[in-house]
Amino acid sequence: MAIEPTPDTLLKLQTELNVVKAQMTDMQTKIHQRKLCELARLQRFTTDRAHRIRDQLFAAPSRHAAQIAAEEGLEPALLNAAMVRFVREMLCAAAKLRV
Amino acid sequence: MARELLSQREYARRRGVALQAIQRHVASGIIQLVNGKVDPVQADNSWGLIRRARTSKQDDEAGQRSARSKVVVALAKLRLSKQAFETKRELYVDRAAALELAAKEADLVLAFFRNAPAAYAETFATELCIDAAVGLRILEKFMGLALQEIGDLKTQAIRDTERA
Repeated sequence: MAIEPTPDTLLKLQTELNVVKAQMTDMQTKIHQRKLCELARLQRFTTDRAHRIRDQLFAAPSRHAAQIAAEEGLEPALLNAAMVRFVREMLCAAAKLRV
Repeated sequence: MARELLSQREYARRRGVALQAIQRHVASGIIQLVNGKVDPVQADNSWGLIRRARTSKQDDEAGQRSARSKVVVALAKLRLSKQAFETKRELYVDRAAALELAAKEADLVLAFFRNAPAAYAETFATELCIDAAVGLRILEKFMGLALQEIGDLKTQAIRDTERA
């Protein structure tokens, strides 16, 4: 790459370098002040939470179907199967939710 | 004929340099004093030569190459620093914005779960061959119990974002 420096080229580059260094220091400070958070860690917590909710919802029919079936006078096995389908369809739709 | 001797100040003035420059070269021995005065011939022959060489070299090819090299090095350092900054910036997000998003997301998910019984009641009732209203009541009860077990989603989302 051919470079034809003018008298202020080096100075401009050094100034720009100092700006980037300042930005880096600023970011480091914000990390220490906890104003910034690690994206990978945040994504991991969010995914773990989503998995926990999914697992609890999937386990819910087996816990509640019998009691609700008795209250409503329904066949527990049928109610459980219908609830499992409901949970599965609801979670499929929930996966498409976007803020 | 005896050579003309000049004071350091006078010699500096005639050569257009600072007195300190002359004093420095006197101290280093490049300019030798005669009876405390500067011999212009000796001074020009020693320090003058060095000075001319220095000033004349500034515009030559070597000087140009040196300047270009410095610029190339500075440019490379700048690119590296920018790349390092960009890479690091992609790894972090603003916590305040993340907290806001987490709260919004939790609200959205909760609203979706609460509205799910109404959305699925008809299909659910058809499967069980029961009245749609009964189906809705069953699903609402079920979701109420399930959400109670899950706990406060919004608080959990905020706590996770604060921990990250």
